[in-house]
Formats: sequence, C-alpha cells, structure tokens
Amino acid sequence: MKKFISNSTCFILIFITLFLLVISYNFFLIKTTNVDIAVSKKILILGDSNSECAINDSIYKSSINLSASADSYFYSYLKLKKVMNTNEIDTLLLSFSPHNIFNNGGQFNDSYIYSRFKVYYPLMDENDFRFLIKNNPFAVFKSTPPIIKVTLENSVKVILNKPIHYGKFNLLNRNILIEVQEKLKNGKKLPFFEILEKLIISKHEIEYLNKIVSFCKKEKIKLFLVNTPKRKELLEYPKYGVMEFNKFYDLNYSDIVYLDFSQLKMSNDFYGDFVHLNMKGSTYFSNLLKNEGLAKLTRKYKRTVE
Amino acid sequence: MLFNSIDFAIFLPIVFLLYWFVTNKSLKLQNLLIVVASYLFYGWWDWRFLSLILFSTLVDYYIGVRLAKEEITSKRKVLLWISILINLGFLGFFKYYNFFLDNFITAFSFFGTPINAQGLNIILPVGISFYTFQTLSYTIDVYKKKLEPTKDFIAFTAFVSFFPQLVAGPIERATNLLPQFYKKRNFDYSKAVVGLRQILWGLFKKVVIADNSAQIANEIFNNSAGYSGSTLVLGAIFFTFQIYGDFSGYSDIAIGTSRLFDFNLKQNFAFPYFSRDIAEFWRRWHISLSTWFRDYLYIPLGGSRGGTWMKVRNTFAIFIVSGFWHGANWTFIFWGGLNALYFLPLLLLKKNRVNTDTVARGKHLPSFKEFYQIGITFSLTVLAWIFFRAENIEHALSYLSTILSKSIFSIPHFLGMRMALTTLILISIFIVVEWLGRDEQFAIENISVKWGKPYRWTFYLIIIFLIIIFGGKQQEFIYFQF
Repeated sequence: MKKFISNSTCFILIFITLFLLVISYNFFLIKTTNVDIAVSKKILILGDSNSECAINDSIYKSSINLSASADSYFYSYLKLKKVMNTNEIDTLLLSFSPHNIFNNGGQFNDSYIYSRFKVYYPLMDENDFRFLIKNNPFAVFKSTPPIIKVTLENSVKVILNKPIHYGKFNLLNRNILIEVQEKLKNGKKLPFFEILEKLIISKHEIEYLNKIVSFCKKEKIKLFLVNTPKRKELLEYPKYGVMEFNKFYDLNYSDIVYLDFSQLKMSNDFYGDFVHLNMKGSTYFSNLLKNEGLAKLTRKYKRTVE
Repeated sequence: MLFNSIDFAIFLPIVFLLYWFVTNKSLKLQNLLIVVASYLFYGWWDWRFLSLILFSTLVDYYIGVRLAKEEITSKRKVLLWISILINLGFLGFFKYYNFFLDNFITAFSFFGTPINAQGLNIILPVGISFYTFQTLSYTIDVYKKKLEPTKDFIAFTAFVSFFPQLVAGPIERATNLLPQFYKKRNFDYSKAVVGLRQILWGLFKKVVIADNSAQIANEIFNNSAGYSGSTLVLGAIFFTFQIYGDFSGYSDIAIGTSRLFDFNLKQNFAFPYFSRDIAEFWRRWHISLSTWFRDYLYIPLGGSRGGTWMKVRNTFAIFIVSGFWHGANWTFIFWGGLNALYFLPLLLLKKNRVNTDTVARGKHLPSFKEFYQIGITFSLTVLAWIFFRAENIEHALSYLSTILSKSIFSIPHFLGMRMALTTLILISIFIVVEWLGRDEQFAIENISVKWGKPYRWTFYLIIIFLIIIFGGKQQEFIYFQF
C-alpha cells in the first residue's frame, strides 16, 4: 500500500507540474501576443450575439467587431483591456439590451464558465480571477483541463502567424422568425434566447459594466451603449422588461450616450430571430452606421431621459 | 455520478482511502462503507430512486432467507415468483408501461375501437435493468440451490448496490460477486495498478472515442433526411464506435475500480469487432448480459437441444428479449430479431462454435480469410446498429433506403467534417492498440508493463493528455438509459 500511495502521489505531482507548465505557457503566450488591429479602425464593438450579428465590420470599415455570442460584460471588459494595450481605439460601441442587465447570474453557470475560462483566463488580472472564483470556484476548477487543447491550438496559430480571435462579426444565415413568433405566442421556450421569469438586475453585470465605463473614462474612449434592432413582438412582451430597462438607464447611466435602435423599422426578412439580424439585416444596419455616422445617429437615436 | 466527471475523480480517492485506512480492520465496516458510498453515488443522480433499490434489496434478501427455510417445492416456487414479479413489475412499470399502453391503443384503434388513455410521465431510474437482473440471478440461484442464501444483510445490500457496476453493469452473478463480500479483502499492489490502467483505458474509450463519435453520429442520425447514402454509412460507423467505446469503456472503468477494492468482476467485452462471425460477436459483446440470458432463459427453454423448430424459437426468444431489455421501442426488438437472423444459419449448420479462440493468435496480422470474415461480421453489426440508434422503425427504414440509393457513391459531406476526420484518425489508432492487446482482458493490460518506469509513466501521461486534448463534449453513458 505504501508503494502504491507513494507512486500514485509522485505520478499525480508530475502530472500537476506538467499541467501547470502548460497553463503557464499559454498564459504567457497570450500575454505576449498582441491583438493587432489595423490603424484605420478606431471604433471597437463589444458585446454579445446581438452586436456580433448586427455590425459587419467589413462594411462599417472604421470599426472592428470583437463581440461573441453570450459574452457578458465581464468578458467584454477583459477584451477591452487587452485591445487597448497595443491599439489606439477612440470609440467603443457596447451592446446594451434588457437581457444584458436582467440576467440572473447566467455567467456563473458551470457550462458557461467551461466554455469561456479556457480562452479568457490569460486576459484576467487578480481581481478578475477573484470575481470568478468567488462566484463559482468549482466551475473554474473544472474548466482548467480544456486549457491544454487551447494551448495546443494557440501554439499552432502563433507558429503559423495566425491571429488569436476573441470574437468577430457573425454573418447569420438563418431565419426562424415565424417559429419564434409562434413559440412566444404559446409561451414556449425560445431557441437562441432565454426569457427569464423574473426581472432581476444582475449586480455582477453592473459591476463589470461600471468597470468598462471607468476604463473608458480613464482612457478617454467615447463610449456608446447600443441597443441593436429587435422585433416588436419581443419589445412588447412584458417579461422582456423594456420599460424597466429604460428606467434603469435613466436612473444610472444617463450621462452615457445610449443609441436605441431597438425600434428601427426593418422588414421581417432582415431578422434571423427576435434579437439577431441576419445577412440582410446586418448589411442594412452596418450601412446605416457607416453612412450616417455616429454624430448624426446620436442626434436621431439617442435616448433622452424622461 | 458519471465516471467521466470531476465529481467521481474526487469521490473515488476519498472512498479508496476510507476503505483501506479507516474501515480496513473490519469486514462489516468495509461493506457498510461500500453501501454508503454506493447509495451516495446513485443518489447523486436522483436520491428518490434509492428507495427502489432498497426495496428490491429487502425483498430479495427476505425471499432468500425464506427459501433457505422452505423445503416444499410449491411454496419455494411461490417465493421465487414473488421475487420475479416484484422485480420485473418495477422494471415493467418504469420502463415499459408507456410502450405497452401506446401499442395497446394503436392495436385497438386498428380494429376500429379507439380508446382514450393517457400515458404517464415516468422517469426511468438509472440502472434499473442492471440491478434488477443482478438481484434476480441471486433469487433464482438460491431457488435452484446453486447458492447458499446470505444472512448478512449488509453484504447483500453491498452486492446489490456495488457502485462500480450499479448503473451499467457488468451484471454480476451472485455466485461470483456475493462471496467476495464475505471474505477479507487485502490490498494487492499489482491488482490495483492493473485496475488503474484499466480505468485509464476505459476513460480513453469513453471520452475520446465514444464522445467524439457521438457528436458526429448524432448530427447524421438527427438530420439523416438531408444527407447522402455515403454520409449515412459514415454515421452508422461512427455510432458503431460510439456504442462500443461508451459501453466497453464504462465496463473497463467499473472493472478497474473494483480491482482497487480487491474485487474481481467478469470481463464484459472481449474485442467484439474482431469477431469472425456473429456467434463469436455475441460471445464477446456484453458478455454478462448474454450469459445471463443464456443461463436464465435460453437453457431453461431447452437451449439448442430439440428439433430445428425449438432451436429457431429459442434463438429468436433470447435475441428478441435481449433487444427488448435495451429499451421500450420496436427498434430494439427489430435489432434483436435481426441478430437472431444473423445467428440462426450458424446454429443450424452447427458452425456457431467454430471461432472460439482469439483471432490470429500469435500473429501480427490476420490472414486474408480472417480479414474478410471480420469485415463481413463488422458490416452486419453496423447494419444492425442502425435499428438500435434510429428513433423508430420508419426512421431506420428510410435511413437504410437512403444508404441503398445511388447517393452511396457520392462523397460524404456533413456538418463537422473536420472533427470527423480527427475522430477517424483517433479511431484508427484505437483499433491498432485494441488489435495489439486483443489477447488480454483490456487492450493496454500488458502494453508498457515491461518498460522502465519513466517510459511507462510517459505512456500513461500521453494517454491522459490525449483524453484531455481530444475529449469530446461530455455525454451520458448510453447504457444508463437501459
């Protein structure tokens, strides 16, 4: 038994050492690999799938879209810090919709952390780590093994001189609008979007939204909160919480420009579903941003406090 | 609790340490620890169903005690039937109630008498088919006086609920497993090391082979209407490896875990995809279930004795019941029937015991004839798995008809081609390792044993890193649903 225990312990220690070496290697690999953005791109777009599918940065050429599906403000903040290390961005468009605020701790689900931690941990500082560990330490622990695979992929990318992505514009090729309309009418679960039973403001989202706001102030970045176009049925659905959301903005963030495009008139075939624009929709919306410019759009779509 | 979860990775060492360092002075305490650990292991999934296992344990323990005292045959028979009815009653209710109800309604509607009855929303308790068969084997063996009934309730409870094999087998016979709870267990270094190696290989099979294959098989089977025949063939092949990796992987982890506690479970899979005919396949696939049905159904029905008609009847009976054991769906029954059709010619021509040894023993490669036989048997198996995996008979038939269409000659194309290519490479490596170790209990039982420690440990580390790097999205074990 003694031999078994000592051999097992020794083997586990070797494994843990190797494992930590890999994790550390990836950490430093990412730390020392810059996110290089063309000098001409001065506008950074961050947020979840709403902005990911809405703004095509190959049309709206002065921007770079690094949004990713389901990104909470925590991950947007990490990306913002990383990008600003080596790039000169002067404007940030941040996805801002009711579901970003009324989110009942979804960002601490095991599966959610599992899908993100392996990619984003090298972008975290001590406070960010503490934030995650405080809220779901077990999920963080369980999310470490996939780092080995990510390390392998990152190493190959670095060798082949390929960029490491943290998000990009997603050209959505789906149209399930009729399906989701039916489902909403019948109170059924919606695909790609969850309507929560209660509207509870997520203090964690707010904590990191505030960090983004402070960071932008410190770095002198013009921050625009952007609510991308949404379907009328959803906006009128009480559980989506448009009224509460607007009230929340009015009370807490009225000093920041909020461009509310949610009621922008667009035909049905511009939507992939209630909250995501498809190829047609994103082309239209990106051209609008490009042609009108943020100053003009601010005059037209800026929410004024009631 | 899943074997391929962090929860189990924490649970197992704790139970191991308590078993060998805290409770090792007393056999009763060790057995009690196994009971507590097993109930915790099962309750992790749904504690409500612990009452079912406990009830089943109480019934069979009590009937065993009564059978020991009872000498009158008719009364003994009644006791046996009480056990059978209670155990199969639970199984029937939880697993087959809705199936029979649906078919009952369909049959009446067909004859013009529509009836209105609502199905129940029943959750299938994980592992019910496994522990039910295990406890039944105890009562039947006691009834047949092949086994002395136990008077040690804790040992019996540990036997019924033994966590390594509780939810997906191997289905152990009371004659093999129960006596192991009576004798003092001693820690055996070599046995524990073999156990760990078997757990490692089982995890590789499950996490790398099965879970990756599952993602591709699911994509193709779930969207089969939109894919070509050649793609569907690939889907069936991936499912073939998924189910093997999944189930034999589970069995390896179960057997390996038992070894850590000085228990010996029977081999459940013996490299079935290297079989040269279907009879050999069924001697190598899910051995604990096949032998259960052989001993408690096939032989009591007369086995292969008697005339041709008897042989045909018994063969179909065992295969169809075995199919039905897997699930309440006509697809499983069809799968069983198809295997009976494969098996019958061999039985009738008395060629069912031709290939009993390991294929190409002592050689590096099979002969051309063996290779051909393996290929044919494998293809027949793949074909049968289509019925096993399909949602219903219509789905299976439409799947087959697409395979048999001209589109079988097109180049396969589906969502996830890159992943499929990686998985195919992994499967190829897996086949080579399995081939090299086909004479052993599990493929890597003897690989690396004679190497120096640094090389051996490097080998283990490579497998662990392969599991982490190429591990597919975590899926439940398929056999949990049976």
